[in-house]
Amino acid sequence: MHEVSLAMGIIECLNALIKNQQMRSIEKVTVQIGELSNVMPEALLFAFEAMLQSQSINGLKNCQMTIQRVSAKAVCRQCHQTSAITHERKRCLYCKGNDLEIISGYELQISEVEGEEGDARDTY
Amino acid sequence: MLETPISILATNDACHTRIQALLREKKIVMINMMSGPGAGKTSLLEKLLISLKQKINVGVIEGDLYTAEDAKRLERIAIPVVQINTQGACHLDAFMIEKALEQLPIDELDMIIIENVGNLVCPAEFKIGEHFKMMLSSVTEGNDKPKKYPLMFEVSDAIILSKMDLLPYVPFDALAFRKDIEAIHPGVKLFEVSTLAEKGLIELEAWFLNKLEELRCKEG
Repeated sequence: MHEVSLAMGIIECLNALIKNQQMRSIEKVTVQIGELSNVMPEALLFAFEAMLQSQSINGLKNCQMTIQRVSAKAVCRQCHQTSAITHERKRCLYCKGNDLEIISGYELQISEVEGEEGDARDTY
Repeated sequence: MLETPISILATNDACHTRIQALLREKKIVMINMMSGPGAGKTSLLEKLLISLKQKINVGVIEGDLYTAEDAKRLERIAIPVVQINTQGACHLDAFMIEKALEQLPIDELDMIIIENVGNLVCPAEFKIGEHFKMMLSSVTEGNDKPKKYPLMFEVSDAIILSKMDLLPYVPFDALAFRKDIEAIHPGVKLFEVSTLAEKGLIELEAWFLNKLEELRCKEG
């Protein structure tokens, strides 16, 4: 699903971190993609690398992305246990109830960045 | 290290939040209607809104890649309507809706229905200011759509099985369809509707009115 525009979204976030003078450069970014989202990690990585090359942004030139898959989980409203779920299996593994609250699996987020802190304008 | 994760869709979601604040101020409920192309969204709205507009003030935001055909159909039943042409984008986003709202008489409306771009994949991922999502799946598309496109069935607050008048003529396994939906979205509200035969429309209209009531009670 729109891995190219998602990659652009990530680059915009990273650019904002640099511009707000929080970072001079970002070398690593960790992105969390939930199992239930319609995103292909390989396509996102490919799109990110391609967009970075074409954008050539100061402070992001060597940025490497790592993708973490977030597993889909839900809490049972009957017995309060947490179960792993899939699109097609949304039953509590303990009491077999189907009144669940999904607590993870839809993530599309940047969880970590690593780089040089400081003002990007101070680069020589 | 980030204190809190940054959503990749942060700018869209911020726009979604702005829209919801505006809708709260104007006491409007907004419903995002999705489906694959040709499932019958516009035809359903044409029929449903003739009755619904007698009871509340409703406006529509139409989304298509190209043409204003759907907006013209709804103009004929005297509903305030705005057509968005995405010219290639396969879903509507919050910015498009925010812009479209400027063209609707929002001081007078109780409800806005968004008819999203016909697409079973991408619209499911985007919050566009709506309070509720609903989707149509027609008997002519086959009963395997829930398993093939689970996310849209999962995020919808109501599912409409449409074109029920054609059920005798197509190999649609209604039992399997209901079973798959129950596995993907336990307890979701399922309506069986035929726009042409005018079946199931009363129950559906009641659901729309109930959603407006629900939201107004919640927000005071």
